[in-house]
Amino acid sequence: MGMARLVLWRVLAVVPIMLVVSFVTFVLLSTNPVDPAEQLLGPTASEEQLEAKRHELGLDEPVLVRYADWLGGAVTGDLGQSIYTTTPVATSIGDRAGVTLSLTVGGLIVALVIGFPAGVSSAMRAGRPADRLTMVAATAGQAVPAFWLGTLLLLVFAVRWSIFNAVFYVPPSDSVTGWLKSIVLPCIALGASGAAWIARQTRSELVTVLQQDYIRTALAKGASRHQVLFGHALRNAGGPLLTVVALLVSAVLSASFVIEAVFALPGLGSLALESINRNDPAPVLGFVVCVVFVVVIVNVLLDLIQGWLNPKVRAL
Amino acid sequence: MTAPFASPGWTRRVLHDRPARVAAAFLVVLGLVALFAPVLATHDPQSGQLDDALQEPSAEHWLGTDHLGRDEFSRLVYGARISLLAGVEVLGIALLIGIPVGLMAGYRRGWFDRIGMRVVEVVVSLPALVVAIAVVAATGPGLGPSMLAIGFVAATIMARLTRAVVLAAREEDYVDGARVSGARDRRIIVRHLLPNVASALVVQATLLFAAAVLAEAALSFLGLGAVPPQPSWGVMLNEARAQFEEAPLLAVWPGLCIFLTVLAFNQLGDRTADVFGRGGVAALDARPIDPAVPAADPAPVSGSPPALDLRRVSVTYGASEVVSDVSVSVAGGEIVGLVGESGAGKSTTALAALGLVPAPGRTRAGSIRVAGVELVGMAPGELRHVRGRRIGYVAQEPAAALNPAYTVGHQFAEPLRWHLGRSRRQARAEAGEWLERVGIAPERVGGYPHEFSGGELQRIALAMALACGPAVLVADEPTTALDAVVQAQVLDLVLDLRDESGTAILLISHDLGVVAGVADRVAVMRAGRIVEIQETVALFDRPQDPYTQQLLAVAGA
Amino acid sequence: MNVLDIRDLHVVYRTSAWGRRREVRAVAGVDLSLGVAETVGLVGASGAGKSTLAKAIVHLVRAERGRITVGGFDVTGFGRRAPLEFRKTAQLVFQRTSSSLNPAMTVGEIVAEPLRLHFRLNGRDASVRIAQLLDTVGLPATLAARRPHELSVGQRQRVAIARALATEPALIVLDEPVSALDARTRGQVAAMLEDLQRRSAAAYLLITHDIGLARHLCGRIAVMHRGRVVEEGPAALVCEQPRHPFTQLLVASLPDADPARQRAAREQRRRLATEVAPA
Repeated sequence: MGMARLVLWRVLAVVPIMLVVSFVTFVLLSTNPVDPAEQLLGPTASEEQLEAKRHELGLDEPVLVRYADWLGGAVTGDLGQSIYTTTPVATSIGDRAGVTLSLTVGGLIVALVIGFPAGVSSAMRAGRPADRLTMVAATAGQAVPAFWLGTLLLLVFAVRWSIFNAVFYVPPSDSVTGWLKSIVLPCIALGASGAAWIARQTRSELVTVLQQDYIRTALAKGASRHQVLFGHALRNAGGPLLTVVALLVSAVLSASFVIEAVFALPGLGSLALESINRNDPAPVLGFVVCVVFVVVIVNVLLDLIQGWLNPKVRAL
Repeated sequence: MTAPFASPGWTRRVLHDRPARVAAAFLVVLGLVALFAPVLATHDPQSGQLDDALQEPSAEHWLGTDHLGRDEFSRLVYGARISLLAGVEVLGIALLIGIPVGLMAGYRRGWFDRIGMRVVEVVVSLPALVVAIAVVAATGPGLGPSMLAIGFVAATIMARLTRAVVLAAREEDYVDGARVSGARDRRIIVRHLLPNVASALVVQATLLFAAAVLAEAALSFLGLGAVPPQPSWGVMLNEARAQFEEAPLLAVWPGLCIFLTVLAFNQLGDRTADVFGRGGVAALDARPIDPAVPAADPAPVSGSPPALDLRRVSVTYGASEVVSDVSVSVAGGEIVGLVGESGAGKSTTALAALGLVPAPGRTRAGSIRVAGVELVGMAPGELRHVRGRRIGYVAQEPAAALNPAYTVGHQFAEPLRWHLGRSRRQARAEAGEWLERVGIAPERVGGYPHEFSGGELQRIALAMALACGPAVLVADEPTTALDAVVQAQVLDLVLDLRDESGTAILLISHDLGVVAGVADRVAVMRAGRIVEIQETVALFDRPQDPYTQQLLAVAGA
Repeated sequence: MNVLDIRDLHVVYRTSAWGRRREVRAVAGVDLSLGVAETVGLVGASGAGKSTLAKAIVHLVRAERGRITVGGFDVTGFGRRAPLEFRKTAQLVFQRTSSSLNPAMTVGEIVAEPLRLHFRLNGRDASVRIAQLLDTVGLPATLAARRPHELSVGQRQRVAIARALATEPALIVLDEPVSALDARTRGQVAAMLEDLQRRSAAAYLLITHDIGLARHLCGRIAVMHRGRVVEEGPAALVCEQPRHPFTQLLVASLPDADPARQRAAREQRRRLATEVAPA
């Protein structure tokens, strides 16, 4: 019963977080001194025309009222529209979400599939040459900026050798192979430093667990290395590693916006950048709210799984 | 206890490691380069002639020129300034705001903690880049506002860490001790808490600096931080992309600078963390027991062979010999006490009998026989079939000996399934029976370790060690962590179990008095050697060794 | 006038984990007194009761109700902070030496702290006094420059005792002072404590789970079980003729080298175990 209450509490807590974040961002964006009316009508417009435009855009209302309007729309899925293109923000986001999702999930897969086994095998051989070598590679890998790696990969594979498609994103609905070809380089760039980080964190956590008394008990009972690793160590390391994974998701998502710029992919990051350059607040607000929402939900989910893994919490 | 932060010479210890020295040297050079940029740069980073654009490296332009004819090397030099300044700004905010907030929340707790930490938790989970995007959208691109945003997120990270370490340090008895001595809050925070949490904060600060350099580069790359014509490394990398065909190296230099700077800070941070933490050596590094040189004399067989026979066992850690030439045997149904003060090598001897001396210890023995099976020279893969099945082990701390994530029944069932081939249901039922035999309600077999008291856990551990009917039980200080009443209970249980099953028991303790009431024979150990072995009554009446006499003197107290 | 007077003391622990609150009544109505320079043992099973009481006496935890008077100070009447004068009067020695001494300070600094706070002793005067205190607990003055991690467990506990002696208190509470030590060191520190109480004017409250130790060091013994004092009297009497079943169990749990006596004690323990509900 208590666990269900905990779940409810955590899920409900998302609402005030989103309210605060959206409100603060809204107010922050409204402090931009650039006048959208001027931007739209040009420097030759008269003061009455500007006033009229501002009234049309609803800019003469107080901040709280404008926020309340936006909020009312947001909960029904209407995130406002771009001042310039009058495209609904929700549509822009929907169009581009697929790219960001592909990049983020791809990057996460690369990071976990490479990093996690590397970390585990390093921990099992802690202190030996194989471990040292892996950790040196991981330390270096962690310092490589993803956008530099992406640039270099682009340089070598796409421009010099023309192996992978240089610029166009192909949605999976059009062609799966095309899609894969268009995201493989960016995902490698995204996942590489993530893999390095995951390898180090996994090794560190696992080594701590392996030093615990209950591992010695298991060995004394006659467990094989296999049984100790899978039956005990990974289970206990799982909880803390989930925190690491939550941070990884957030980091890969952020990095994907930069990688988009490197590979000129039409994702959410480029939406935000274009809108900033045009002083177009609505898409930026939509971007921030959506990204934060996803991150918060992922955190809540991983947090709950972590709680479930802990028998003291599960018993509540 | 590990040496703490404030002990003199900690910087020397950090720099003892060659990679850390290299990293520190690099950063010092970088700092000097940034400081003396106007002197070191060969040209003005902002000015260039289009005629000179995209030249190869030459004597005039060491790394060539960019697409606007500006000297690449000079731009990199000034880029160092921007990167380091960004780091300083972010770190400054993080330290000046984050640490005090974390301190207040962790030390005072109360409403400040509750509200403050809610805010921090939320901000910490926001991707820093998104926060920067939101701020820059409001202010327009620029190094100042973007680094302010990053600094804000860094401050929350620092606040959360500070709070966590302060919370932990606050629970330490020496804080209470200071309060009892009469110290007030301010003195406690400054004199007691901060020196002990400083190491964690230093490590985090170096990592944050690295992250700040990376963030500045990323934001400038996107055009949100520094903007052209500023010579930020991120800006340079962005501009270089358009010159792929003609001057691909332009994309290498700025990224290399970012990479090396981040690497250096990370390396220093890691090394500092290592110095104050514990090194990691995994317990799964298995080595076989080496035969002793020279080989032991063949045993004169009189009567049935002992259940546990240790002959000339030595354990070395590097150059020091922790256990020297120890020989002791335990017959079936006999209880032999192994007594000595802490550090004498008793626990190590116990682990040697199981082949579980942790790396980097090396075990060497003439012979280690468990129920007649020779362990010396046995491959690690085979050793595990002996452990749990023929020899059981119980350790000192009952609460730590069981995995908190699994039920007692699950852990009990493991050896039954592995060695005796029981099914899950059979094993669980047997576990329940064992629990009852040691005085715990069998329904509690589905309970988790945290639901049991220390005495109950020790009884469960004993039962678990005996579950497969081993010939030998090694009990390493099984009652040391328990109070007098529970101690007597557990020892009574050991006797009962021995009476029922005829198991040979090697009972290790630092307390001769405890062992005396239970053991048939006693072996006294000192500095890795056995100084005396006698029947218990004889030992008490006529101790041979002066050290034994000393131990007896205090046992009587 | 008694150095320590406790009347009907109740101390409650509140823990809240993951939104669930639990209350544990660690001390459930305790009466206890200590006269000047008296040594009294408070014996009981391990559990929060005894340590909680120790902390309440030195105002580290707040009482729910009841009264504690130490050397004329009304401890339960203190607000959030206890006055400096009180801190001079009552001292506490903790069980775990690994955490009771600040790892970042030298032994000298640790012992100097109370001297500085109460007597404003600095520099040479402080060094002299520190050397005296270390000598009292059987440690060489050269140890003052070392840090706790360089000392053995026994040495650390002696430093903790020296720190407690520094303010020349009227009452010293020792919470399981030798339980974490191995047998040999335990004997040595116990001998030092015995010597100390003969020479000093302080009253000692020795908290322990070992009734044998209490018999050896204390004039009177009070037995604590489930938050209450269930028996009290002169040490020898309580140990030789225990009346309450829990006291009997404590006495029966003492280690004994004589096999015949041990067997008899085992029988008795078995009988008593059913009478006394486990803590």
